[in-house]
Amino acid sequence: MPIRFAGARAVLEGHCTVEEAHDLSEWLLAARARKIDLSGCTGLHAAVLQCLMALRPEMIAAPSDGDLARWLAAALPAPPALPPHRTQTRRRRSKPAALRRSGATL
Amino acid sequence: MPLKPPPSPAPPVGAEQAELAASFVEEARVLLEQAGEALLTLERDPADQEAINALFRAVHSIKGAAGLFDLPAMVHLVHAGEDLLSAMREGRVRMDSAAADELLEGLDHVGQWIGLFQQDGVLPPAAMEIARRYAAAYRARLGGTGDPQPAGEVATGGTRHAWADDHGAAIQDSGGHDGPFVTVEYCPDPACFFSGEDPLHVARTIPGLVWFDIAPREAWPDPRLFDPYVCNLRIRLASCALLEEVEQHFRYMPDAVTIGLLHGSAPSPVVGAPAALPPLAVELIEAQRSALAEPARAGQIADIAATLRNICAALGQPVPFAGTPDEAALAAATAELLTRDALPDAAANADVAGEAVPPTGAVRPDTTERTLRVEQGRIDTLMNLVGELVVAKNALPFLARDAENRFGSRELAREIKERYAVIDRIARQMQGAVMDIRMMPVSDLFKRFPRMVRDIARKQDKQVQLVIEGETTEADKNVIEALAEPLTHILRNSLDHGIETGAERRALGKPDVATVRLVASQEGDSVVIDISDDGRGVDPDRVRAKAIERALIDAERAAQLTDEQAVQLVFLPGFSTAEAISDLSGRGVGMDAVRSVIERLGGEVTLQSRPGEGTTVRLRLPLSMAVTRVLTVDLAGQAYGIPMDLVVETVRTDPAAIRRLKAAEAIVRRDTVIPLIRLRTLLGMEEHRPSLESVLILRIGHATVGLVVDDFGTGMDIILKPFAGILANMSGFSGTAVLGDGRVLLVLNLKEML
Repeated sequence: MPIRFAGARAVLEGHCTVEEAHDLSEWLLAARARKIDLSGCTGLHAAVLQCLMALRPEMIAAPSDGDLARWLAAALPAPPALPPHRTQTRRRRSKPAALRRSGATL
Repeated sequence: MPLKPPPSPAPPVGAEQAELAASFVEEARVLLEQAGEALLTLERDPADQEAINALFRAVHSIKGAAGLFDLPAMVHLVHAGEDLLSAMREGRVRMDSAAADELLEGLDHVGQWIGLFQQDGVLPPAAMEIARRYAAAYRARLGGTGDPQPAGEVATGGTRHAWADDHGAAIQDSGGHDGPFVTVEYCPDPACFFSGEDPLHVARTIPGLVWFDIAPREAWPDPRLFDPYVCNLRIRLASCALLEEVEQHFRYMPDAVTIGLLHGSAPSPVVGAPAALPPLAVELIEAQRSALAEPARAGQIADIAATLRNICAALGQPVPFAGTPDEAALAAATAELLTRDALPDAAANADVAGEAVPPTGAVRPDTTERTLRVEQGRIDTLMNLVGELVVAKNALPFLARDAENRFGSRELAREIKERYAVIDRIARQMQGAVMDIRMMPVSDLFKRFPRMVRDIARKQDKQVQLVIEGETTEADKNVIEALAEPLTHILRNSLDHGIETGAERRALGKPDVATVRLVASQEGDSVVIDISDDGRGVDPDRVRAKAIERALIDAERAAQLTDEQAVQLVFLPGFSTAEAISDLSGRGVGMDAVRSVIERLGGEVTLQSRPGEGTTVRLRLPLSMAVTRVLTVDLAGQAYGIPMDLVVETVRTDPAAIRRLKAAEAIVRRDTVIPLIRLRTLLGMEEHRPSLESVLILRIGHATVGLVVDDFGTGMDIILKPFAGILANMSGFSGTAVLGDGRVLLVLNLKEML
C-alpha cells in the first residue's frame, strides 16, 4: 500500500495510483490538521495531486525525487493567505533539528 | 545602435577563460558552417523557411557567443547581418545572389576573425573597419524598405498562447536558447481519470520539456464537495522538441490540448512597452545567463557580475544585486533583468495562479544530444594501444605452443589457449568500438563543396549544380580528412576543364545548367566516391599529344594505347592540359597529386571519359586503416599472410587427386574444376612435393583459385603496414606486420599476383 496512515500523518511511498486518491481525500477530509509526508514518494497520479491541491494538507516533507518535487512546488504554491500557518510550519521544521542537535551533545 | 557592447568580461586569463574561448571557437565554426549551408540553400530557393530559420538561428547564436568576449567588430557585423536576415525572414527583403554574396563574404570574415581570435585572443584593429563596411552594406539593403514596424505578426502556423508570451523570458531561460518553443495548453477532460488517463504523467513525459505550470482550471470547491475523480487541472507546458513530436505525444487527447508556437524573437518587442530593453541588451544578458549555466564558470562570477553592472549602467537601470553576488544571486538578477523586458507590467501576470518552475537536472538531458567531444589525439592513442594489444595478444598462441613443446605441459597449453580465446574476443570488440568512434560520415567532407562549386562557377560564368548523394556513407576519419584535397582538385578540374561555358553547351544542345555529381557509396570493405560531370570529357588524342610533348611517353607507345588507357595518362606526374593556367587549377600538379594521395591511403583512382558526354573519376579507398585479419601459411619455413576475406576453404588433398592438363593443374571440388597455382612457383622457389598437398581455395574477384602452399598456419589480426621507402614499389606484397613473437609477416597481394 503506497499510502500509510499513521496517526495524523499520511506517508506516501512509491508510486501513488488513482485508487489511492479516494482514500486519501476521505482521510484528509475527516480531520483538519492532518499532514502528509512525501519524502518516499516517487510518483503521483494526477488525481492524488488534485487532492493535495484542493485540500491543502500541510506537507511535512517534500519528495526526495527532485523532478517530482519541482512539479509539486509548481502545483502547490506556498499559500500566501495563511501567514500564521506558514510561520508555524517553519518553527516546526526547525524544531526537530534543534532537538536532534541538543540530543547529540548530550 | 542604442547600446555599446560592454567591455569584455575579462582579458583572457586563467584556464577557464581559455576553455570557454576554445569552446566558443569550436562552436562558432560549426555555426558558421551551418550558416553557410543554409545560405546556399536559400539562394537556390529564397522561400525555404527552414533554411532561413536555420540561418537566422546560427547567426544569432554566433552573436550571442561573441558577446561574451571582447569582439565588438564581430558583434557589429553579425548584428547587422541578423537584422537583414530578420527582414528577409519576414519577407520584407528578398534574397538574391548579390545579397548571398555579401552575406557569404561577411561569414568568411567572421570565420577569419575566429581564427585570429583563437590565435591571438584579439582582433586586428582593421576588423572594425571591415565590420562597418559590411554592416553598412547590409543596412543599405534594408534601407529601401525602411519599415520599422515591429515583427509582431509572424505567422506561427498554430495557436498563439498569450501566456507563452508572458512567460517568454522564463521559457527561454530554462530552454537555454530562444526558441522556437512549442507551447501546449492541456486541459484534461473532467472524466479523463475514468479512461485511464494520467494527465500528470502525460505532462511529465512530454519530449523536450523546458517549462511547465500547473493550476486548477476552476477554483477548488468547498472541501466537502471535492470529488477527487473529477479532473480540474490546467497544465501549461513549453517544449523545445519539434512540433510533430509534441503533437505525437498528445495524439490520444486531441480535444484536451491546444498546441502553439513561441518564436524566440516574438516576446522581446513587446508592443508599446516603454521599459523594454533594447534587443542587444537582452542578448547580452542572455549570454551572461548561459555563461552562468556553464559548469566551468567558477572563476567567472565576478566577470559576469561586472558585465551585468555595465549593461545596467548603459541602460540607466538599477543594478539588481549588490556587492559581490554569488551564483544564485546572479541567476536571479539575470532573470529579473529579462523580466523587466518581457513583463513590463506586473498586471499582465495576474492570471498566473501557480508559480512556474523551470525544471532542470533530470529533465534537461532529454533536450540535448549526449555527445562527447574528444581530441583526435586521444582516440589515436587509444587506437595505437588497441593495435599493440592485438599484437601482444597474438603472442599467446606461441606461448601455448612453447608450454607444450618445450615445457611438456599440455594442460597449461590448453589453458593458455582458452584464455587467449577470451582476450581475443575482447580485443576484437575493442577494435570494433574504436574503429566506430573514428568513423565519420562523408557529409562532413562533402559539405564544403557546394560553396566551392558555387564560387568557382560564378567566377567562370558557368551554371553548375552540384548533386551530392550518399552523404551518410561512413569511413575512417583519416580517410575522410585525406580526401579533402584530392576531391577539391578533381572538382576544380571538372569545373575548369570539363564543364563548357553556357554558350558552348547551348550549341551542343546540352542543358544550360551543367551537373556535377558527387556520389559516395560503400562496397565491401571500401568506400567508393564517384565524381562525374556532364562536360566535354577528356580527349584521348589531346592527352596523347600532350604526353608526348612533355616527354612523358614516346610516340610509338602512345599510339599503341587504347583510348581508355590514353586518358589514364593524366595521372602521370607533370601532366597538365589546361591551355591557359587559370588561378583555379592547371598548375601542373593536377591528377598525379590526386593519385599519389589516394594510393598512399591504399586506394585506387580511375578515370573514365566519354568524349562529349562527360568524365567520371572514381576513387576507391579502404573504409579504415583497420586491423586486417589474415591466414598465415607456411612456405619453406617462412610465414606469409593471406587476407582472410579471400579465403573460401582450406583443403588437404592427395597429390593423385590433382589433375593435369598439360602444364596446368586443377582439382575437382563439389563438381567444380578449380585451377591450381603453386605459391612456390609464383615466388620462384624450388618445388616441394609432400605426401599431402595443402590447398587454399580462394575467391578473387569472380574466379575461384586453389593456391598450393606447404602448410596452413593460424588466423590472426595484424596491423598492416604498407612498404615504405625503397620497398614502396615492390609488387606482389601489400605490406608487412610484426607477429607476437617478433617475426615479420609478409602479406601477399594476391589480386596483383594472380
